[in-house]
Amino acid sequence: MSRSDNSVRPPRWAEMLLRFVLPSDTAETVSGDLLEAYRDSVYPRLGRWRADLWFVRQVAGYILRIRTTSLGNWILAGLLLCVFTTTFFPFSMGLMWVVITVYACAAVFGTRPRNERHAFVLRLGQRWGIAIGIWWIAFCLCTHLLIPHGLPAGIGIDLAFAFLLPFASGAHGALQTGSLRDGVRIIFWSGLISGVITFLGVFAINYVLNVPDVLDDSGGFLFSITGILNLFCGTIGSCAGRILLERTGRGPAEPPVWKSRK
Amino acid sequence: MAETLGTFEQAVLLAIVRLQGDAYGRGILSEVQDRLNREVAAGAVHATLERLEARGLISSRIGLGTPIRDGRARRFYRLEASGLAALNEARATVKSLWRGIRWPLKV
Repeated sequence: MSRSDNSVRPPRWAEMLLRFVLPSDTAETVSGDLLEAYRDSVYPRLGRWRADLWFVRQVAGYILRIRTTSLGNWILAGLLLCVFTTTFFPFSMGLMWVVITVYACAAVFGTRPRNERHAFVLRLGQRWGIAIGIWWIAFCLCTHLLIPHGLPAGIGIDLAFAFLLPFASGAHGALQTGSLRDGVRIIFWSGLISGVITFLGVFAINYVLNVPDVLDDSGGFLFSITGILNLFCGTIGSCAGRILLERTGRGPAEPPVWKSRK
Repeated sequence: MAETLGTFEQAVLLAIVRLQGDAYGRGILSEVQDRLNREVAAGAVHATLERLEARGLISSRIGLGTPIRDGRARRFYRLEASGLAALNEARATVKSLWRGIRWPLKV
């Protein structure tokens, strides 16, 4: 056997997985390094089967150390958990399947920053999504756990914040980027992330603490409506933010804001 | 005061020093494994390189690929002045810790 046989290949699925989990700028160099090691030393030393095992172990190591591409993977993991919850609750999954499919596609194809501006949009969407998600979980805990029969004004507050938070995130996004389109993108990501967080958080409250009526058969509706409502109110907020910029004649907060936020 | 370095970070930085102009992922991995005399995960080396680069201790540039890696690009690393200072300080700290103690230690 020659020392380095360029015709041998590690498992293709493992190579594809590696390219999937790494950011595009590092995927090529890292996969090249692993391929070179595989052909140059591992395969001649260990043979086919153990060399393949070595390669798979290396890929698993990269997956465990994911940092920069974690957003997409976290979203996919969250969506999988959401689907898993349906084994516990008989949700009406019709609309939820559509939303989950759209979200999964967005997580796979849209979470790798193409440039600094895109990275900034993702970061801001992520922050707002986490904030909104935590707010809803806290709200559910307060209204359903601390006050078992619900707060009379609960529905009013619920609705107010359901409009207010996405509106604020949209307006903030448009003010920061100076772009209506980027504002809407920020809302999309915040809606997606907050939807997953809220759904899983509320499910956990229901399951662990056995609180009735927190998550019933309207679970699928709750999941879907969070994203849609977020998108609707956030778009209005983005428009408001953009109009405010036009009226005041100011540019984005720190133009160009995405260059200064690494 | 220069950056504080862990043992593995020092191993990676010293591998870059030894390899000089040929310090890319695969070479650094081999060098670190040889020096530490154990199997090291490529992901661990890569994560350390990313961290060191983010701290400004090293810099990188993309270079051409070779047939053995199907022409895939290589990322070459270079030690920066701050990285050199950090290594010097790490060495000085170890020397200072061991000063006056006979090696190897005996019970």
